[in-house]
Amino acid sequence: MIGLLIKDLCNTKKMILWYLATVIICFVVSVLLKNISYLYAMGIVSEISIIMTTFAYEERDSWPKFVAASGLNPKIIVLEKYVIGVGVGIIANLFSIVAFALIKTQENSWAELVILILFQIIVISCCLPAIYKFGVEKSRIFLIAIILIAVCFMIGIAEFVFKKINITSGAIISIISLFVILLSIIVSYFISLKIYNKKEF
Amino acid sequence: MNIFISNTSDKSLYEQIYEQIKNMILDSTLKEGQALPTIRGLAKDLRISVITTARAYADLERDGYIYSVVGKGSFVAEKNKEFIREKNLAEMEECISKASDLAKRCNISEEEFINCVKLIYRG
Amino acid sequence: MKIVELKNVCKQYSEFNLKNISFSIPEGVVVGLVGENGAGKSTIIKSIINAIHPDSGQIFFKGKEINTLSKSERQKIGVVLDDTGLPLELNINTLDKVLKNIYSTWHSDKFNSYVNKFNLPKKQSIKSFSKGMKMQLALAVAFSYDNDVLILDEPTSGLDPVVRDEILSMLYDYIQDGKKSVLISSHITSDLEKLCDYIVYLHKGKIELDEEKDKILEKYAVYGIEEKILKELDKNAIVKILRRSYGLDLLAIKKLMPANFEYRPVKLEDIMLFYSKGENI
Repeated sequence: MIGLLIKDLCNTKKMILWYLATVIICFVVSVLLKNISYLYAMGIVSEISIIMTTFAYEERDSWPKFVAASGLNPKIIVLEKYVIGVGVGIIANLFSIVAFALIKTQENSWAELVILILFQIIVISCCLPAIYKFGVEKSRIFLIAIILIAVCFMIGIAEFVFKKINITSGAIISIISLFVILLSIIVSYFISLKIYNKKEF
Repeated sequence: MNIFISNTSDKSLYEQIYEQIKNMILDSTLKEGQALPTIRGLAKDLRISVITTARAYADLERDGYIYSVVGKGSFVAEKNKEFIREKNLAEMEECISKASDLAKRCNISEEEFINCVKLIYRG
Repeated sequence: MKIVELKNVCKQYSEFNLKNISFSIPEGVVVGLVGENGAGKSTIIKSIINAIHPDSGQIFFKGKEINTLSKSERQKIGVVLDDTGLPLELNINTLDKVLKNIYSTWHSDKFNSYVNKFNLPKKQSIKSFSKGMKMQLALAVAFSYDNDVLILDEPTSGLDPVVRDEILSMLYDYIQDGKKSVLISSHITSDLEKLCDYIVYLHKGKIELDEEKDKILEKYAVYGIEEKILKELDKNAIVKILRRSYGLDLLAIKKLMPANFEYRPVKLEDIMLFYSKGENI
């Protein structure tokens, strides 16, 4: 597992730094404009791009064949991608949480943020099995669609739903969201694993 | 010792190795008890397969030129003068029989043939 | 003892079938997998290294079914892929760290000594390497963990003669102790003619020949004859016929042919050519 992580992080080192810089810029912009959506959208974009790139390099290098031959457990091979995905997600979300705390007003509640994070995790949960199933090239269109939906969700839902959230309903929504986050990651992992086990390289 | 392999020769690779090592033993280039290269080492050096080399060694051992000790390798066998003489005699007979076949085909008389042999033998 | 054994392995693709592949790799020998491009060499290798799942049949490693091997057992099968499979963005130093965490018997010192021997740059990313350097690196990797058999997929294709010879030399070193085996697939038959003890010849997904190499080279020969003589020959002697505009070439079994016929010794290349282009009697 550690070997795979070192490989993916070093493979995408330049990209990670580039996205980190972009996320920091978006962070500043979001705080100045008192609108978290830029940062949030960038978080999703960088998360998916980094994961996609790790897969793209692997496909180019015939790595899946190599790693299958090395006898590593498929459970670990698939899990590593989730660690990368969730790891990058956590970093992106840390920025969002700080930005949110800075621009927080009376009108919005933490539940908003939790819902946003929930959505981000669901995006990741959809992405990984799709990449495993269709490969990087074919799932690209699928992923662009997901990102578009995410952005629309951001703009739309933020306007209509968040204004109606109060403290108590916010707490309940947060708890349910956390539960759904966990569930979607676990379900997605097992779907990916099942697809991976049938794959040929 | 030097061994040269020819890919264009009519003889197969293992025959070439067999012949060359045998000749080196007969003309004492390889001394009694001297260690021969390992089968796999020689195969690597000549860039030929292990089985080919092993077969040449097996034939050399069968014909009494070398012996092998498990775990130590192969060595030149003690020269058995009688044995070598017999080997050479057999080879000589074979050459003469070819020559006499040729002589008969060209209607060369026995006397002429023997004279020829005498001439060549005396140099 | 059989190190690797395939029994009736079948794999169906839309345009290509691997049919009932059975052969084995004994201890201490080099087996060459020969065949034209698309004959199924890679498919066989992929099924041994767990990259594809055969439709039917079994593969054993030291008597144990290959699907049941643990990670450390599977790593006893060393693998060198035609496109190396190594992450090209990394440099050698990082690769060492990655592989140390993947192979349970990884020897960094061994790996570094091979890297130094080949003069490979340690800080440049692997993608800047030439094809020969990449292949040397892939071999260095395979030699740096403890394995009992080495499976190589087209290791010498596209390489210059000097590098090819270096690779052969490394493979000879690998088999020096007589316990380790090699399976090497290639369409460069001259390399295989040197190194291999056994030849498995594959044509259109089927094994046509599986014999000791010396026996193949001794048993068959190539004859150039006239059409009218063909009818007088022993049918069992003729393996394949290659018709030319002026006469025809025969791949035939030497001892069943008339002794006074002129022939030239067969090469693996001839066998490939006769099987793919020749016709039966």
